[in-house]
Amino acid sequence: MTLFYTEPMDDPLTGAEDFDCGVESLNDWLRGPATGVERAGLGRTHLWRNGTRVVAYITLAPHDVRQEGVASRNRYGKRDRPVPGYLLARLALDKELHGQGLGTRLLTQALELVAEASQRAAGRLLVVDAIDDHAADFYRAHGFKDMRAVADDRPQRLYRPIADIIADVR
Amino acid sequence: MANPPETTGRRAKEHRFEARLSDEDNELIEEARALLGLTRTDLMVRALRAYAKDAIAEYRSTLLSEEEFSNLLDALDAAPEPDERTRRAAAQMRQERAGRQ
Repeated sequence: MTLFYTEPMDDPLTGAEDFDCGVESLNDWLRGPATGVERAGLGRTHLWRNGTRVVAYITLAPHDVRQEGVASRNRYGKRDRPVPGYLLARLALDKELHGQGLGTRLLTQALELVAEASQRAAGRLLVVDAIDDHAADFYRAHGFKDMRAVADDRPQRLYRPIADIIADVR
Repeated sequence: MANPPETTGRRAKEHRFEARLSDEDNELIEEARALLGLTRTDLMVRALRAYAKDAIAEYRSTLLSEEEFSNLLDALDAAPEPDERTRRAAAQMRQERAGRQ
């Protein structure tokens, strides 16, 4: 059995032609915009390969959580400042690997990367974008809590404190 | 009439887009367009720009209401809540890595 571990995305990306996680927008994003996001330093994508073929990916980016309207108020206390952290913007697993608990393995490797990043460069919170209800349930089943953003027409976001993540993966 | 200002020899490109709309969306847009006194194109370009700017901002930041933000800070200060699935997966990978060496 192959023991999958993430590796950084290559540029130009190879082996992603047949990648199919079952969600078209996630397939297209990897083959298209992912490289531009990588080059611009806006996000880092990490891959699993089976031989030369890409069979999973995750994308991480710097992120913070802020309070609406705080700039227009006078106080700027400890409880008003943004909380720094990271966004797990995307997580996708090829259909051929579904149903084997490998989603947990992929997420855990993302959490290891976040734990390492926060130990080197700080951060208190990991936010995730759930592309649909199924994805939101997956994150809830791994200890993530719902977050109700002010903009309600975007994907559901969930979070976990990085201190909790470090305690789990270290 | 003065010539338009010369740029660096390169003209701004014109990009076009077309979209199919439901009758309901079409009515909505027509009403907003009439109220604002904008052309259909102006309204759509403004809306697209605003949506795109928000989307970029939300990639970098999540904006919460005062109450939601306060709840989040409390959660950050609360005792850690372990997740067993994550712990088992992490322990498994530690073993794999130790076995490789």
